[in-house]
Amino acid sequence: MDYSEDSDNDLYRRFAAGDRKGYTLLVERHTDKFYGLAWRMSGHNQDAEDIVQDAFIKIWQRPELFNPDKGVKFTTWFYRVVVNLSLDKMRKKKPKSASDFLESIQDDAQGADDDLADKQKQAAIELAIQSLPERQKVALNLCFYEGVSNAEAAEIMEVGVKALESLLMRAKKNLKDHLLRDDQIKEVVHG
Amino acid sequence: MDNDNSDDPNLDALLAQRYSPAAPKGLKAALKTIPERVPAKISLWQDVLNIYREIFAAPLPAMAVAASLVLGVWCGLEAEMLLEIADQDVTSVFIDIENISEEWL
Repeated sequence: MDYSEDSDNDLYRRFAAGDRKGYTLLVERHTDKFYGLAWRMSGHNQDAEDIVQDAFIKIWQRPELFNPDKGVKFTTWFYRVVVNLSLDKMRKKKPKSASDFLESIQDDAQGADDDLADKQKQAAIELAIQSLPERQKVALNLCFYEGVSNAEAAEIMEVGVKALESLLMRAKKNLKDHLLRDDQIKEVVHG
Repeated sequence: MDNDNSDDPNLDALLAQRYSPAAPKGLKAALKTIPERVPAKISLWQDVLNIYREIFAAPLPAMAVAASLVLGVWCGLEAEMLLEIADQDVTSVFIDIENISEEWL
Protein backbone atom coordinates (compact mmCIF):
# COMPACT_ATOMS: atom_id res chain seq x y z
CA MET A 1 0.00 0.00 0.00
CA ASP A 2 1.32 3.44 -0.92
CA TYR A 3 1.24 5.94 1.96
CA SER A 4 3.48 8.53 0.29
CA GLU A 5 0.62 11.02 -0.13
CA ASP A 6 -0.51 10.68 3.49
CA SER A 7 -0.06 13.58 5.91
CA ASP A 8 2.39 13.19 8.77
CA ASN A 9 -0.49 12.90 11.22
CA ASP A 10 -2.06 10.12 9.11
CA LEU A 11 1.26 8.29 9.08
CA TYR A 12 1.51 8.67 12.84
CA ARG A 13 -2.02 7.33 13.24
CA ARG A 14 -1.06 4.26 11.22
CA PHE A 15 2.15 3.84 13.21
CA ALA A 16 0.33 4.15 16.54
CA ALA A 17 -2.09 1.46 15.36
CA GLY A 18 0.83 -0.89 14.81
CA ASP A 19 1.70 -0.25 11.15
CA ARG A 20 5.48 0.02 11.03
CA LYS A 21 5.50 1.53 7.57
CA GLY A 22 3.99 4.70 9.04
CA TYR A 23 7.00 4.97 11.36
CA THR A 24 9.49 4.26 8.56
CA LEU A 25 8.00 6.96 6.34
CA LEU A 26 8.16 9.54 9.14
CA VAL A 27 11.85 8.70 9.58
CA GLU A 28 12.38 8.98 5.83
CA ARG A 29 10.63 12.34 5.58
CA HIS A 30 12.00 14.16 8.58
CA THR A 31 15.38 12.82 9.74
CA ASP A 32 17.38 15.53 7.94
CA LYS A 33 15.23 18.30 9.39
CA PHE A 34 15.36 17.03 12.98
CA TYR A 35 19.08 16.28 12.76
CA GLY A 36 19.63 19.85 11.53
CA LEU A 37 17.86 21.28 14.54
CA ALA A 38 19.63 18.93 16.97
CA TRP A 39 22.99 19.92 15.47
CA ARG A 40 22.18 23.63 15.65
CA MET A 41 21.16 23.21 19.26
CA SER A 42 24.18 21.12 20.32
CA GLY A 43 26.84 22.14 17.78
CA HIS A 44 28.11 18.57 17.81
CA ASN A 45 27.69 15.73 15.32
CA GLN A 46 27.52 12.80 17.76
CA ASP A 47 25.29 14.66 20.20
CA ALA A 48 22.89 15.53 17.36
CA GLU A 49 22.71 11.88 16.28
CA ASP A 50 22.04 10.76 19.87
CA ILE A 51 19.30 13.38 20.29
CA VAL A 52 17.45 12.36 17.12
CA GLN A 53 17.81 8.68 17.97
CA ASP A 54 16.50 9.23 21.52
CA ALA A 55 13.55 11.19 20.13
CA PHE A 56 12.56 8.41 17.74
CA ILE A 57 13.05 5.75 20.42
CA LYS A 58 10.69 7.77 22.61
CA ILE A 59 7.85 7.65 20.09
CA TRP A 60 8.54 4.06 19.18
CA GLN A 61 8.28 3.02 22.82
CA ARG A 62 5.34 5.24 23.65
CA PRO A 63 3.35 6.25 20.57
CA GLU A 64 0.52 7.49 22.80
CA LEU A 65 2.66 10.51 23.73
CA PHE A 66 1.37 12.27 20.62
CA ASN A 67 -2.30 12.41 19.70
CA PRO A 68 -2.65 13.12 15.96
CA ASP A 69 -6.33 13.98 16.41
CA LYS A 70 -5.81 17.02 18.64
CA GLY A 71 -5.10 19.49 15.83
CA VAL A 72 -1.33 19.73 16.36
CA LYS A 73 1.03 18.89 13.50
CA PHE A 74 3.40 15.97 14.12
CA THR A 75 6.43 18.05 13.17
CA THR A 76 5.45 20.85 15.59
CA TRP A 77 5.21 18.37 18.44
CA PHE A 78 8.36 16.47 17.44
CA TYR A 79 10.38 19.69 17.16
CA ARG A 80 9.43 20.29 20.81
CA VAL A 81 10.68 16.81 21.72
CA VAL A 82 13.98 17.44 19.91
CA VAL A 83 14.38 20.88 21.53
CA ASN A 84 13.74 19.49 25.02
CA LEU A 85 16.14 16.56 24.56
CA SER A 86 18.76 18.97 23.17
CA LEU A 87 18.43 21.30 26.15
CA ASP A 88 18.69 18.35 28.56
CA LYS A 89 21.85 17.15 26.84
CA MET A 90 23.45 20.59 26.66
CA ARG A 91 22.85 21.24 30.35
CA LYS A 92 24.89 18.15 31.16
CA LYS A 93 27.84 19.21 29.02
CA LYS A 94 30.44 21.91 29.53
CA PRO A 95 30.35 24.88 27.10
CA LYS A 96 32.23 24.31 23.86
CA SER A 97 35.03 26.45 22.45
CA ALA A 98 35.46 27.80 18.90
CA SER A 99 37.96 24.99 18.21
CA ASP A 100 35.33 22.39 19.25
CA PHE A 101 32.93 23.83 16.67
CA LEU A 102 35.66 24.03 14.04
CA GLU A 103 36.43 20.35 14.62
CA SER A 104 32.75 19.43 14.35
CA ILE A 105 32.40 21.42 11.10
CA GLN A 106 35.57 19.90 9.63
CA ASP A 107 34.40 16.38 10.50
CA ASP A 108 31.48 16.78 8.18
CA ALA A 109 32.21 15.92 4.55
CA GLN A 110 29.67 18.47 3.32
CA GLY A 111 31.87 21.35 4.37
CA ALA A 112 34.96 19.97 2.62
CA ASP A 113 34.87 22.53 -0.19
CA ASP A 114 34.94 25.55 2.09
CA ASP A 115 38.36 26.95 2.87
CA LEU A 116 39.74 27.22 6.37
CA ALA A 117 38.93 30.93 6.71
CA ASP A 118 35.27 30.23 5.92
CA LYS A 119 35.20 27.40 8.42
CA GLN A 120 36.78 29.60 11.07
CA LYS A 121 34.15 32.23 10.41
CA GLN A 122 31.43 29.58 10.69
CA ALA A 123 32.94 28.39 13.97
CA ALA A 124 32.92 31.98 15.29
CA ILE A 125 29.26 32.39 14.31
CA GLU A 126 28.48 29.05 15.95
CA LEU A 127 30.24 30.06 19.14
CA ALA A 128 28.27 33.31 19.24
CA ILE A 129 24.95 31.52 18.69
CA GLN A 130 25.76 28.79 21.21
CA SER A 131 26.54 31.43 23.83
CA LEU A 132 22.98 32.83 23.66
CA PRO A 133 20.58 32.11 26.52
CA GLU A 134 18.69 28.86 25.85
CA ARG A 135 15.33 30.29 24.81
CA GLN A 136 16.85 32.91 22.53
CA LYS A 137 18.87 30.21 20.83
CA VAL A 138 15.82 27.98 20.35
CA ALA A 139 13.83 30.87 18.86
CA LEU A 140 16.64 31.83 16.48
CA ASN A 141 17.24 28.25 15.34
CA LEU A 142 13.58 27.59 14.66
CA CYS A 143 12.78 30.84 12.86
CA PHE A 144 15.99 31.52 10.95
CA TYR A 145 17.26 28.06 10.17
CA GLU A 146 14.37 25.60 10.33
CA GLY A 147 12.08 27.84 8.32
CA VAL A 148 9.11 27.51 10.66
CA SER A 149 6.74 30.44 11.00
CA ASN A 150 6.83 32.64 14.09
CA ALA A 151 3.42 31.26 15.04
CA GLU A 152 4.60 27.64 14.83
CA ALA A 153 7.86 28.43 16.66
CA ALA A 154 5.76 30.02 19.42
CA GLU A 155 3.65 26.86 19.57
CA ILE A 156 6.77 24.65 19.74
CA MET A 157 8.17 26.78 22.58
CA GLU A 158 4.77 27.08 24.27
CA VAL A 159 4.90 30.89 24.38
CA GLY A 160 2.86 33.65 22.72
CA VAL A 161 3.92 35.06 19.34
CA LYS A 162 4.82 38.42 20.89
CA ALA A 163 7.08 36.72 23.43
CA LEU A 164 8.71 34.74 20.62
CA GLU A 165 9.37 37.90 18.62
CA SER A 166 10.85 39.54 21.69
CA LEU A 167 13.19 36.53 22.15
CA LEU A 168 14.27 36.86 18.50
CA MET A 169 15.00 40.56 18.85
CA ARG A 170 17.07 40.01 21.97
CA ALA A 171 18.89 37.09 20.32
CA LYS A 172 19.90 39.28 17.37
CA LYS A 173 21.03 42.12 19.59
CA ASN A 174 23.13 39.78 21.72
CA LEU A 175 24.58 38.17 18.62
CA LYS A 176 25.53 41.51 17.13
CA ASP A 177 27.26 42.54 20.35
CA HIS A 178 29.08 39.22 20.53
CA LEU A 179 30.16 39.21 16.88
CA LEU A 180 31.39 42.79 17.02
CA ARG A 181 34.04 41.55 19.43
CA ASP A 182 35.38 39.22 16.74
CA ASP A 183 37.87 41.07 14.50
CA GLN A 184 37.43 38.61 11.66
CA ILE A 185 33.74 39.35 11.23
CA LYS A 186 33.41 42.85 12.67
CA GLU A 187 33.65 44.38 9.19
CA VAL A 188 30.77 42.27 7.89
CA VAL A 189 28.47 43.31 10.71
CA HIS A 190 29.28 46.98 10.20
CA GLY A 191 28.71 46.72 6.42
CA MET B 1 6.99 31.00 5.97
CA ASP B 2 5.28 34.14 7.24
CA ASN B 3 8.23 35.49 9.20
CA ASP B 4 9.49 39.00 8.80
CA ASN B 5 12.39 38.98 11.22
CA SER B 6 14.86 40.84 9.00
CA ASP B 7 15.74 44.23 10.43
CA ASP B 8 19.52 44.19 10.02
CA PRO B 9 20.68 43.11 6.54
CA ASN B 10 24.36 42.90 7.51
CA LEU B 11 23.70 40.66 10.47
CA ASP B 12 21.22 38.60 8.48
CA ALA B 13 23.79 38.11 5.72
CA LEU B 14 26.32 36.96 8.27
CA LEU B 15 23.88 34.56 9.94
CA ALA B 16 23.09 33.12 6.51
CA GLN B 17 26.72 31.96 6.35
CA ARG B 18 26.23 29.72 9.36
CA TYR B 19 27.35 26.15 8.85
CA SER B 20 24.57 23.95 7.48
CA PRO B 21 24.77 20.38 8.83
CA ALA B 22 23.70 17.31 6.87
CA ALA B 23 22.48 14.15 8.57
CA PRO B 24 25.08 11.35 8.45
CA LYS B 25 24.31 8.75 5.79
CA GLY B 26 23.81 5.91 8.25
CA LEU B 27 21.43 7.78 10.54
CA LYS B 28 18.20 7.09 8.67
CA ALA B 29 19.05 3.40 8.40
CA ALA B 30 19.80 3.27 12.14
CA LEU B 31 16.52 4.98 12.99
CA LYS B 32 14.60 2.53 10.80
CA THR B 33 16.00 -0.40 12.77
CA ILE B 34 14.78 0.96 16.12
CA PRO B 35 11.69 -1.31 15.98
CA GLU B 36 14.03 -4.35 15.84
CA ARG B 37 16.39 -3.06 18.49
CA VAL B 38 13.99 -1.51 20.99
CA PRO B 39 10.91 -3.33 22.26
CA ALA B 40 7.74 -1.23 22.20
CA LYS B 41 6.39 -1.03 25.72
CA ILE B 42 2.74 -1.22 24.86
CA SER B 43 2.57 -3.23 21.66
CA LEU B 44 1.38 -6.43 23.34
CA TRP B 45 -1.27 -4.59 25.33
CA GLN B 46 -2.46 -2.78 22.24
CA ASP B 47 -2.58 -6.00 20.22
CA VAL B 48 -4.80 -7.62 22.85
CA LEU B 49 -7.19 -4.68 22.85
CA ASN B 50 -7.35 -4.56 19.06
CA ILE B 51 -8.09 -8.28 18.80
CA TYR B 52 -10.82 -7.97 21.43
CA ARG B 53 -12.39 -5.02 19.64
CA GLU B 54 -12.33 -6.83 16.30
CA ILE B 55 -14.00 -9.93 17.71
CA PHE B 56 -16.62 -8.28 19.92
CA ALA B 57 -16.90 -4.87 18.25
CA ALA B 58 -16.88 -3.27 21.70
CA PRO B 59 -14.40 -1.80 24.14
CA LEU B 60 -12.89 -4.10 26.71
CA PRO B 61 -15.20 -4.44 29.76
CA ALA B 62 -14.27 -2.15 32.64
CA MET B 63 -13.46 -5.11 34.87
CA ALA B 64 -10.94 -6.44 32.37
CA VAL B 65 -9.42 -2.99 31.96
CA ALA B 66 -9.13 -2.68 35.71
CA ALA B 67 -7.36 -6.02 35.95
CA SER B 68 -5.06 -5.04 33.07
CA LEU B 69 -4.46 -1.70 34.71
CA VAL B 70 -3.27 -3.32 37.90
CA LEU B 71 -1.07 -5.75 35.97
CA GLY B 72 0.11 -3.01 33.64
CA VAL B 73 1.18 -0.74 36.47
CA TRP B 74 3.02 -3.65 38.03
CA CYS B 75 4.76 -4.08 34.67
CA GLY B 76 5.87 -0.45 34.69
CA LEU B 77 3.21 1.02 32.40
CA GLU B 78 1.44 4.24 33.26
CA ALA B 79 -2.20 4.13 34.33
CA GLU B 80 -3.17 7.22 32.35
CA MET B 81 -1.76 5.72 29.18
CA LEU B 82 -3.58 2.41 29.66
CA LEU B 83 -6.87 4.18 30.27
CA GLU B 84 -6.49 6.36 27.21
CA ILE B 85 -5.78 3.39 24.98
CA ALA B 86 -8.72 1.47 26.38
CA ASP B 87 -11.15 4.43 26.07
CA GLN B 88 -12.42 3.72 29.54
CA ASP B 89 -14.16 5.88 32.05
CA VAL B 90 -11.81 6.45 34.96
CA THR B 91 -14.48 6.20 37.67
CA SER B 92 -15.81 2.84 36.51
CA VAL B 93 -12.32 1.45 36.31
CA PHE B 94 -11.44 2.54 39.81
CA ILE B 95 -14.65 1.06 41.18
CA ASP B 96 -13.65 -2.19 39.53
CA ILE B 97 -10.18 -1.96 40.97
CA GLU B 98 -11.79 -1.76 44.41
CA ASN B 99 -13.91 -4.81 43.59
CA ILE B 100 -10.86 -6.71 42.42
CA SER B 101 -8.97 -5.77 45.55
CA GLU B 102 -11.81 -6.98 47.76
CA GLU B 103 -12.16 -10.26 45.88
CA TRP B 104 -8.45 -10.91 45.65
CA LEU B 105 -7.39 -9.91 49.14
